[in-house]
Amino acid sequence: MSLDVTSSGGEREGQGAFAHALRAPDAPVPHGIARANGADPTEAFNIYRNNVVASLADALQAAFPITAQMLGDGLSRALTADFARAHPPRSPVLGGYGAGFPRYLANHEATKSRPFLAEMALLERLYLDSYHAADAAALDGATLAALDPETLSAGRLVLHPATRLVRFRFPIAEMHAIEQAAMRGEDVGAARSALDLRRGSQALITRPAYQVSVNGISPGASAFLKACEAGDSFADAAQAGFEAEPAFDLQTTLSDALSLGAFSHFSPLSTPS
Amino acid sequence: MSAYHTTASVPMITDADAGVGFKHAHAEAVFGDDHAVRWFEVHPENYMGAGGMPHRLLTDLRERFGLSLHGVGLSIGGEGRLDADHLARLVALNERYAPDLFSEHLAWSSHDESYLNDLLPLPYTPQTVAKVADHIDEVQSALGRTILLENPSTYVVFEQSEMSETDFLREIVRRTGCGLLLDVNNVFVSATNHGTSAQAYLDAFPTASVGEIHLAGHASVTLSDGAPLLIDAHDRAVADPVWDLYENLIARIGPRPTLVEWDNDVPAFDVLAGEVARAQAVLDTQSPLLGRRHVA
Repeated sequence: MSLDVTSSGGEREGQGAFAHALRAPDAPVPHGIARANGADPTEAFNIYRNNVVASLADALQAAFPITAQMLGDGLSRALTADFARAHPPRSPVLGGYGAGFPRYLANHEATKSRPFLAEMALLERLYLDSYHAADAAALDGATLAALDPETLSAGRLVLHPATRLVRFRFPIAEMHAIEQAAMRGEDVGAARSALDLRRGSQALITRPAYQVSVNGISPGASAFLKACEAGDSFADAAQAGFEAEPAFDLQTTLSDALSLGAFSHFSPLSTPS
Repeated sequence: MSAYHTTASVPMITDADAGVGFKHAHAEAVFGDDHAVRWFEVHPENYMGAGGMPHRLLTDLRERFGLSLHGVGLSIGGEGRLDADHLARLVALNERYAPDLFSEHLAWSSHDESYLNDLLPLPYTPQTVAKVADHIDEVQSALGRTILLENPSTYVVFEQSEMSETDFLREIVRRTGCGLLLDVNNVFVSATNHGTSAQAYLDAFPTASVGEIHLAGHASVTLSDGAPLLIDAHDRAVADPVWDLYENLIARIGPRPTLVEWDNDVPAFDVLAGEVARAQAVLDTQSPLLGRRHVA
């Protein structure tokens, strides 16, 4: 009987039948489920149906607050509920739920005219990854400054466990800052209309201690940090920065990244990536 | 529970203490304000990341207050095997934070590869008793401690059930040695939904095994046939009939650690502290030696 995989649910038993009916809004209430007074159990069973989808939709809206705000209440509710039905979590640890939501938005008809929403969702997913990442002390500038140039060139900068790097087709880091301000109730009308949507962007997301920061960075800084992430030597990473952006400012990039806590330590010996 | 504390400086939950669910939005008030709340409960599932703010807050909480871990994701009432990865995560948190109390639910929440994020009901039969008891044995043996099992809120019944919920719980206690978390709101919600007496349920409950009590608010809807259906929403203050049941219960069985749950539409911390104070006042009537601690 367990071989039955049709959508009828008729052959399922016990919790399999219950779980199937929860996710199929029009399926009959499973056999043996009743109201104590003998009344039709459908409405009471629907409480469970609603709890499952609504609680997961709530969890997604909490995980993607700015994406949800930009979608607007109705669409946000509808899309998160649809995602929850189609892609239920595999773990009770909901802090990791929704990794597929950015891709879902990227492919959905309802958000086709606003492709930046999928990128915003990706930024918010990375924000949560950073929020929950392992703790580690951040590398300080003095440690780096004390190195002789040869050691520095040959060694590599290791990213902090909470550091995430991402490139976008849209100005997502700026948009994130603007929409965060909007959530705080600030007037962002001018900032919104000044935003050039045709401009790509790069972001550094990290967490020196406990507060996650989202930072727009230059193409050179992004290439430099991506090379560090890949395990390149400091010299090679710097080269990658200059190749990506002739005006790459290594000194400023380093000092900004250090003050944001983007690195955990310096590893003197370069290891192949 | 004192066996888990080797130093007197670690806060402990006693029978005479009322607490509340911890919300990150309340951290400033919880750690900064002068308040009378003595212990907090968290869902361990929210503290299973590698690091960051959640663990920082839980560390601070453990240092200053009594702590209870109240699992919502283990699916103890599930037909299948327990999720070994999830159990391992619970074991790690139990070791790291040494909570005074550790509880889970008489419910299931996972099936096959999916987590359903709700506390779903099960029929009460000899087969389900055996399955739940096996799961609790496995959990207690992994944790190295007894746990408290919570009675559920239910919206439907199973035709195949052969025993009452209170008899089911009594049998689970007998087989596993676990304690019980008596959720008085759940008792009221289920009794209303099934047209039974909440007081009769409490009279039949194996109260000697109660190690913690929950209080919470519920929502109410009216079904199309006119029957009321209560929903365990945790989104408002505890209802008066639930307070009445609680007061009678404490007068009968004596004080037990009592927790107010408020998880949706969460108000400012002082509103929660007010609910805790009301529970504390009830506990204090039965704790003469501690009555002076009555909160303002």
